[in-house]
Amino acid sequence: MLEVRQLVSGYGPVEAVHGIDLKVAEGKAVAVIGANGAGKTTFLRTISGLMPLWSGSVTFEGRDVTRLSAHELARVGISHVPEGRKVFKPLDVETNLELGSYSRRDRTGASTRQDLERIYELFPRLRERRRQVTGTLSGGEQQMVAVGRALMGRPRLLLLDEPSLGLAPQIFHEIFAVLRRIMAEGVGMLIVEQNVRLALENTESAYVFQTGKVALHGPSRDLLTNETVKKAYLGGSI
Amino acid sequence: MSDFLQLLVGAVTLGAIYALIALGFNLIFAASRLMNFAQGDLAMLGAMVGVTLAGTLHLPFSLVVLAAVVVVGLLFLAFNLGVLRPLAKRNATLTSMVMATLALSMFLQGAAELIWGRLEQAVPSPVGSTPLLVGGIVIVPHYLVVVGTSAVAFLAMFFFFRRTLTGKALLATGFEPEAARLVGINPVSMVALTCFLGGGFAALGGLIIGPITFAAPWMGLSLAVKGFAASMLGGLGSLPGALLGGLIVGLLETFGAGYVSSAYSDAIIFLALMLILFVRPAGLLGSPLVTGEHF
Ligand SMILES: Nc1ncnc2c1ncn2[C@@H]1O[C@H](COP(=O)(O)OP(=O)(O)O)[C@@H](O)[C@H]1O
Ligand SMILES: [Mg+2]
Repeated sequence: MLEVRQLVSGYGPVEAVHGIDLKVAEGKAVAVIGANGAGKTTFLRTISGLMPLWSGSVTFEGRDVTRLSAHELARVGISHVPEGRKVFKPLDVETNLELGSYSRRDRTGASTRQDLERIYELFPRLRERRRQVTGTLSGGEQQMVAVGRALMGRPRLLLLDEPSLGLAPQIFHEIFAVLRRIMAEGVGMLIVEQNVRLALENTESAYVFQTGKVALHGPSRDLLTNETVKKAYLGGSI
Repeated sequence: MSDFLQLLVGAVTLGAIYALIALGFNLIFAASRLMNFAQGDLAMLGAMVGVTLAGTLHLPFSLVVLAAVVVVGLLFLAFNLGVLRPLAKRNATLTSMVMATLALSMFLQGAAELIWGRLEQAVPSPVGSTPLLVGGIVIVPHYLVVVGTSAVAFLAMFFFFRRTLTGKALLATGFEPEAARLVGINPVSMVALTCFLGGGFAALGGLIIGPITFAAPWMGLSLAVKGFAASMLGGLGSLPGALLGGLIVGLLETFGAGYVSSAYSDAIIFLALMLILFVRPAGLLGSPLVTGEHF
């Protein structure tokens, strides 16, 4: 459903991502792993149109979306949960979620209510906190808001940038349990994760980024037992 | 006592006008974090449009209001598209964009002097000038127009921000511009909308203060200063803050002039502003969460 060809992008004069090829098959989950500074965030932000793409192309469901800006891309069915969550802190939880439906042209009061119900069912804590100012929530709850907000756009592809960063294991397992439910419904996912084991265990295939290039890619199952990956990212334990 | 009430009536009226100017200022700030220092001269332009359309051409007041709001709103929208956006595209800092609004302010004043001359001119009120006597207090009928107009403007904006998704999207754009784009909000249209509304509310403020004071090309500075003080006092970017700040500035100015001396009323306003910011840096109703440097 997503096909990225030879994507190049960077900051000012500095190229950070040097020609990446990557595919997400219809409704599948793909992981992107790699050290800090490998270019994972830059890659996602360029796909989403938050950063200008220097060269290469992005195709989504057969349509060329290379030149779409971020707000247009949201309307074609791709939702991006950005690094650092970026929730609308001064607004309450429910308003954050409602804003997630902004991209939907077919939005009605009833469809929004129905989607909100569904998010509250996926994240019962958010229902309890629906009228609370989002900036006062814990990091894990804010991540739930970020994921819930993205889901309110009814995406067919979800881009996630480090959803587990800074969260207690209990919380990120809760979030990944929800992500698995969403995957089971056929939503495709591109997950950037520094928690390599978590990423590989929850995806079908994976790409290892190294200094802005794809160093390795293959089925996640194989990468879990790959000696190089084990040594570099899994630290041999757990 | 009746002296006090008499001053209070004047204070609330002035406050309602400052609140309108602060409202426009805060709207623009809410979406873009830009401080528009042309706000006072946009108000002046609203008053001058009133001089021509109501004073010279004798058009009905409702039409004059509409024309002033639309013309000045469109003017500031054009400034946004023609100057601010190109600056932003060239990675100009927010500070240099603020400077550009200051340049616009001076340009507008100069242009208004060329068109209307330097003299004070009258703006006719849509209502009669026979004062109403209520329990010994004199109420100029136009005061009711001022308070009513301001109340309607604030009610409309409260509805917009509390009840419509567009209003919430506008706030979201100011809080987290990138996340706003990711949910499908086009920040360029949000900022454009606030530029139109901000210019329009300024024009409305200038137009309705006209019949109380006068209209002249140099009236903008004092309106800008008081609107800005109102905005800071209430909390930058805050809608209820603009209302509260406007009323407080109106009270300080009127009572300062009435009980101390009109020579000190501006100093009193800024002394109060400094004291309040010292205790509440984000203003009385401002949120410390509202920080940012995005356009
Ligand atoms: N805002 C920025 N300005 C300049 N260089 C940046 C910026 N953000 C990231 N980089 C550089 O781009 C490269 C890729 O960074 P990033 O995509 O954030 O990596 P990752 O998400 O894999 O940790 C790094 O070398 C980083 O230093
Ligand atoms: Mg990153």
